[in-house]
Amino acid sequence: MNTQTANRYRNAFDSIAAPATHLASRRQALERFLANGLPTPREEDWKYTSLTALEQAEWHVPGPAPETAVTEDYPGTLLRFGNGRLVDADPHAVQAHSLAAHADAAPAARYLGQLAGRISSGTALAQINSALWQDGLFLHVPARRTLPPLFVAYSASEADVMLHVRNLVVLEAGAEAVLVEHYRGSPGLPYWNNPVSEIVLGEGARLVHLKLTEESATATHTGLAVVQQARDSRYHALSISLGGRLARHDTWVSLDEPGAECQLDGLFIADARRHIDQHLHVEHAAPHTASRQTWRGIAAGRGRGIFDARVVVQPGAQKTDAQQSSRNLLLSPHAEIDVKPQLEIYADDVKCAHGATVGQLDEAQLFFLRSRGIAADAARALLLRGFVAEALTLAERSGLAGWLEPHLAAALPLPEKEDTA
Amino acid sequence: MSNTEVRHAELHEPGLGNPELRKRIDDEYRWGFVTEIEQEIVPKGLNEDVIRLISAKKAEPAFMLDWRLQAYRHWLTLREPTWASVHHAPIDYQAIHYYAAPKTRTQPKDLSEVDPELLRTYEKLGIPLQEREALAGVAVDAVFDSVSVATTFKDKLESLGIIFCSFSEAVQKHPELVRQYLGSVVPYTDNYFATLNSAVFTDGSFVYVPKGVRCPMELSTYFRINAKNSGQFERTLIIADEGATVSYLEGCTAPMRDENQLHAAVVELVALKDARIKYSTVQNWYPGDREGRGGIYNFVTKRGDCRGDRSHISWTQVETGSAITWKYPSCILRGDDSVGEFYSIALTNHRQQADTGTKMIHIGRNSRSTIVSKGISAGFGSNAYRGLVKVLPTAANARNHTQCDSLLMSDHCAAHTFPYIEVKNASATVEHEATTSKIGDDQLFYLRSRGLSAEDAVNLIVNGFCKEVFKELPMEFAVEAQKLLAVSLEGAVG
Repeated sequence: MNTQTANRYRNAFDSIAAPATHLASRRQALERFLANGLPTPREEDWKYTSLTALEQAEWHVPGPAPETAVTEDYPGTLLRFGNGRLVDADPHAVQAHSLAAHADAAPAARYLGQLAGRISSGTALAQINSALWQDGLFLHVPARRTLPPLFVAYSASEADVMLHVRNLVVLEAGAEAVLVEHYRGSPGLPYWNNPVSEIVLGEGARLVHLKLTEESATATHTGLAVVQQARDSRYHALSISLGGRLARHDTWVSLDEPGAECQLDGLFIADARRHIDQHLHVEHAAPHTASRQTWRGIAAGRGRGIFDARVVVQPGAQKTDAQQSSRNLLLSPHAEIDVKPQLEIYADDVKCAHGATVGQLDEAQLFFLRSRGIAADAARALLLRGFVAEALTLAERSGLAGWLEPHLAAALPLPEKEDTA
Repeated sequence: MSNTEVRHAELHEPGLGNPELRKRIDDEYRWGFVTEIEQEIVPKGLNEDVIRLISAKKAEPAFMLDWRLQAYRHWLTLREPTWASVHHAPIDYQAIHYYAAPKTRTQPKDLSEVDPELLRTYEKLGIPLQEREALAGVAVDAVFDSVSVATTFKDKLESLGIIFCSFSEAVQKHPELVRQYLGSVVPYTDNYFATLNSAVFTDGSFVYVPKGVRCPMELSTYFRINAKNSGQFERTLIIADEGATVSYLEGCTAPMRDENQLHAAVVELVALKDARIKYSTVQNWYPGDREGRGGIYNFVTKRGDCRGDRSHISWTQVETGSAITWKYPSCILRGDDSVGEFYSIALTNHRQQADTGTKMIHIGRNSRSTIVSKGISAGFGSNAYRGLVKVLPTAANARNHTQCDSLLMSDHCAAHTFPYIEVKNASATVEHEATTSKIGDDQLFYLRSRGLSAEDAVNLIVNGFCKEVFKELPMEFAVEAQKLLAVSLEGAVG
């Protein structure tokens, strides 16, 4: 990283008003970030994604949060963040708070920064977030409490800002919650969103976590979620990535105790010139743990989609059951899909499998529909719907399908018309 | 004790209650012997003078020396790769003899002139070199350390215009072919080990099959590493001209050694229009002892180039030996309708490590590739499949199917799968499937209840697991490979 860029980050660091209690650790994170620099395609985990444009842009920290009107109905309690800071919170959201206000209190202080420190890759982006975060969600659900669906809407409305939102979610033993994160920005606005979420699930806790990314067409999104699961806990996540010029989603889950299970599903649509990179990492650190991944990807236009998932079964993690499925569609001659489903296994009594496909819509199926009098476009749309449906079962099960529907309908690309004669 | 407990007891204390099993587990490497023979050795170490000396000893034309020196100078700028999932002590490239040849005053004209000690070595290995060659129907180009000592069946092949000889001979007799094709598939800049090979390779095999000729027999070569501390750097070049067909077998056993030996071979295959090359390997280098001492470091670059339309290259490999295997036989599918195949069995026992797989680069239209990889890990073995399927924008209607299965046989072993799939053409179809599992207790119980020993039961299941690959091997090799697998797995099961 050149001196000029480094100085910009230093200035940004000096300009933010961070609580003094964290100053030392924040400064340490900044220095580490400046020493390592942003990841480059020379690193295996960044083989397909270059952050050169991100590095060259001149980002600054956002000004005061704007007062924007709510433009969308959310079927649950709502927290709104504007340019990285809490704008307003539903009075019913008693368990959800601003992290800035609670960072020094006991439950937050105990976990904050602990999980992000566990991961082995993508650390540079987590470090700059640790140095520069100003606010985020702090969700703390006490033992055996069940929370109604909580929606958190993050919007960006200032050009050339970098937003380092920091979220911390703690579910105590037996707690249950549904968390929906929705990332958006003003159309055409260039900005960099770099959220980090740390999620701690206690014994038997259950979290349904849906992330919908609809950043502006010129924005960059680099998100990291780190999840730590105790005995018999369930983490069910669905990531839907529809926006941004460049989006990179890192999910890192550690199944630390027996009986823990996670399900990581997702859908990405890389159309236009979008570059969407999905990275999943699951550590089976204890016996009798299970993980499932069901992903669907679509690349159209000049888009490029990447699916890279690694399942690690540590020594002694017997009776592990891990399944990965990644199916992808290429809809145009200039689109590209890169898939890397990896298994790394150090135990013997395990069941691990993965399947990956890259292909196109089935001509025979199209022909069948058309022979029943369905127009070519409608037939293609129908097949695309069918293709993505399998990855969206979690939305159905948790009652979020209705809310998701208009977002999906707007994003699903109609394949380029070939001859329809 | 219940059945499960019995099996577990045997797994962890293999010898208790079964002396026969114990004996077989402790079986030392059966092909571990050293031939006492006078050798001509260049001093240890690597520098330009050593390369000049190698080139001079082989009386090579100037273009070869230039090529070697270019490779050496490039090698000096490279760093040893570390991305593979293998661990080993650093290799001291200056502690290796880069040239070791059996001392013969003149080139032997027929088998009677060959050193009898050498012939006995081959006999122990069961190579059909003399009259048995006719029965076995195999033409053998035996590589003893670095120099080919005898080549048989030559006349028969010559009458068809097929050139099958040692690499050094090809350099002397067919320099135009060598010059045209050497380095055209694996350039000297390719990777660290291929570059080293390009600088110092001493010998290997050369095959040229002319237009429209179907090679009437399986061509075969046996490699042995013999001289102490002599790294072996073979170079094999096989060219199938338009419409030609050839099947080539490569088999290796190596004598027992304490120190690690480096083996960095390069194999280049060129298949022109409508040509077909089948390359089969059974690799059984010394794997090191139970604690992982000794054993061969096998860093091989193998690549085939389907240059013309409808050309076809097929790799089949059974990898049971070596302390470390680092090998990715690949196909560049340049021609339209060209086909690439990769069938592999990799077995790691004790402390063996294997990082192997393939690359299929689809360039031509309607190019197709199939990958079947079976990995078996036992003991403390570590086995990784690492493969790339790349479909370039020009490869309309390209098709790939990949199947990688891993079988785990101990709780200390490791099995990894690292597939890379990169698709840049919307009409391509790529499928990848992988599974990892251990041998089912119910399968074992069933077989044992029918009176099979634990060992036989496991061998039966392993053979079934590998069947898809065995059936791709030529007959005599398939038999050898199954035996090898059983021997290699001794002591791994209970």
